[in-house]
Amino acid sequence: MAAPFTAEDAEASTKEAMPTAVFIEDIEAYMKKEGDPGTALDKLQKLYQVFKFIEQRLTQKKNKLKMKKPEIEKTYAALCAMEEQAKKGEPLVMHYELAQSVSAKAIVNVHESDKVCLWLGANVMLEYPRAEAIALLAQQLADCKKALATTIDDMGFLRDQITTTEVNMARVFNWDVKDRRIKKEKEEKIARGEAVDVE
Amino acid sequence: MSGAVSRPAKWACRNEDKDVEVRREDQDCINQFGRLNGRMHDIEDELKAAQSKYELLDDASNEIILADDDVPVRYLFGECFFELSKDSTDEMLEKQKSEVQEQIDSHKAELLTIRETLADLKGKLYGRFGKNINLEE
Repeated sequence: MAAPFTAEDAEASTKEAMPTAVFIEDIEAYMKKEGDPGTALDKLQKLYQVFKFIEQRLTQKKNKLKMKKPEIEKTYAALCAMEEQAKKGEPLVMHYELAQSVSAKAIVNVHESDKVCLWLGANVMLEYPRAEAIALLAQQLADCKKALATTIDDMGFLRDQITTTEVNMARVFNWDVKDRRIKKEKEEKIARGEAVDVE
Repeated sequence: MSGAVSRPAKWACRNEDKDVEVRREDQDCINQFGRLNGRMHDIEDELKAAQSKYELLDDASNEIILADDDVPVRYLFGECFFELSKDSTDEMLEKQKSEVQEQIDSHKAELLTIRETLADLKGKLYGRFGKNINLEE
């Protein structure tokens, strides 16, 4: 029975390690500070790519946890069913998959022995008293759920950073378009002015 | 995939005549929209999964009514079938069904509040930015 450990996934939020997108309070002042709109856009683009990379990693992490959760739940439910049967003082009759499409019947003396083996991964299987195994699985299930909630929360935070950066890029872009138009109008005016002067 | 990239707030790059400056509170609204929009899609997926699980459980409990009382039912736990009495199978199924039903209800409730908030944010943002903003579902 599989009991994948979730210790590594229960790690704390990655929010602190994430770069943050800064909201542009005043686009004019920002552009003055950045100078050239091209470099400003490049900078934002780079930041955006970093966010996209983090997003990929978090999505992977979330999917992994989402796969793990039902695995733990399955094992936990099976252990609880064994415990129930043991309480009745009867052996558990079960059918297990011997090979693909071949099932064999087994009588497990759950009422006499309370030992179960949990597959811990890395080719290690450990024998536990049933009550301890149930407690371990319950802990792991709780850890998994917590890690999943943290990851989802982190992804929300990241979403904010991505959205802010998207808006920042659009604002810089729009500022550039506007700036060019103003400059062009000015030039045209000057050109016209000069033409008038010459005549 | 639930984590699919959704771009909630894409800015039209056409430069309209009226130029609306983005304020901090607008940015906050856009961010909230982005978050909730993603969350909505996730919950929709989870709701669908829960609903189909409920149907399966319901089918199973309907089938069991027809089964003989004294023949043990093989109940799937992980990769093994445990032999359980019909009564305890019934009990387990009902328990699972009510758990799944609870999930369905809470998902539905959350979806409702999210949709309301999204509609509210949409009204606000479209009101301020008009055609300059494109809020995708």
